[in-house]
Amino acid sequence: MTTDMLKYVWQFILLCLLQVLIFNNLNLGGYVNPFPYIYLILMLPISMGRIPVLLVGFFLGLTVDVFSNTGGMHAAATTLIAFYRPLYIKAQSPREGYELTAVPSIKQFGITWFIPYALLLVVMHHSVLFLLEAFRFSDFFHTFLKAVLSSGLTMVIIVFIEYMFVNERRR
Amino acid sequence: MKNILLFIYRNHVFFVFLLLELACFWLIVRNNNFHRGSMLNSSNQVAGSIYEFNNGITEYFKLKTINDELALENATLRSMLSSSKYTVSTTNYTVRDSVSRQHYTYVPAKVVNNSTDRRSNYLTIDRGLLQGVQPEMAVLSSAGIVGIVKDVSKNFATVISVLHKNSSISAKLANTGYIGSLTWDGRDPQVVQLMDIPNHVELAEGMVVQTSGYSAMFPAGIAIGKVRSFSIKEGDNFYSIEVDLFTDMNAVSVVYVVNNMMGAEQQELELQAQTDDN
Repeated sequence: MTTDMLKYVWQFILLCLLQVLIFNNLNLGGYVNPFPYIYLILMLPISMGRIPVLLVGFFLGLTVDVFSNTGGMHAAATTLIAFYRPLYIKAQSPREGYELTAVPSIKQFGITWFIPYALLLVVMHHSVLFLLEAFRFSDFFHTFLKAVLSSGLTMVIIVFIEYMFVNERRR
Repeated sequence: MKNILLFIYRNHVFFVFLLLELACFWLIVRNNNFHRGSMLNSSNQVAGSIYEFNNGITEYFKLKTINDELALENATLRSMLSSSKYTVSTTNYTVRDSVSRQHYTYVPAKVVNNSTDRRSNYLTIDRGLLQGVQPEMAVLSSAGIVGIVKDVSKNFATVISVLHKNSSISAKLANTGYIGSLTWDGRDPQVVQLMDIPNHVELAEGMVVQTSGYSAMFPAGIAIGKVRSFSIKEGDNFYSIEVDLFTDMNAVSVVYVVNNMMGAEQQELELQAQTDDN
């Protein structure tokens, strides 16, 4: 358990650094801003309690906020998906329930389960984030396009991480 | 009472969620205000140090452009030296200068973090309180304007970029003297909008836009950019003017923080006039 904890702490730091030092500086035509740091929320163990997931989401967003001078915008978006994630997972649960050690990954659940799961949370996070950033609906099409394009790139990066770095963990 | 407690207990996850979201919105609202010294932005020591370390690495890739910029600026400054001027008059006068007093001083700083792709952009610079940087000081680059200081820590400061939702800088058309305010529509980081120029002014593309000196932050006459295009919406009394910035906000790396030594005096006086009105 403690080694698992350490692993998640390490991944928290790594994803935040990648986000603020590399992905925040990616500026593709002013429209595409990927936020792959939310991968941390996607891959938390399924058995984790709802309150701990919420807290992880909140502090993850807050850390990125501190580095991007965005107040609490990231935290608002990550807290929302951290709240919604267990609801989605519960609704999708197989008849016999989940294994205790289950982690939402492509290796364990297959790509046809993972893509809708990740896409829903990514789009939710990006839409909330970009709307909060613009703080009005007048530029709606501009904001919407930004959210869609950025979500696409974030998905590509997350699936890439899944295939490259996630080892078989099923016991 | 018991029922209320039971209700809260049954939905405790939702209430924790609500509480965290409220905290987020409080942070967002607070972040929009000037002058609230806060640790939760990139002018704090930890974030500043990480960005400084990162800048130490990426700076090497930008050295060539930085060198070019500085060389250009050196050349401009050198041409202003009295040694590079030809004295027209045949007699020399030594003037003991008690007429002009120092009005502005400049603190050079390095940009350690910058963004241009968001709706509201900020820069972080590696100078702070200890080097004399204060909130609401203007920030210039060698080419033009950059923004206004928001928060300062001991050794770092965050700067509201001209590319910010709430940025509004007093500017004038160089030859006509008409004053407008400079805002940004969030699209092209190279182009800002000049508002409030009345439609009877004769405009031409390429006209220079400079700071007006009306605010106590920016010295007058600093070049901002050139008029790229202009139009009048039907029934509108004012032009919509697109201005090409002289400063390349994507590549800005060496900046100067302007300390207006008489700024406080001017602001105090203007505040007095405002309170007298009310």
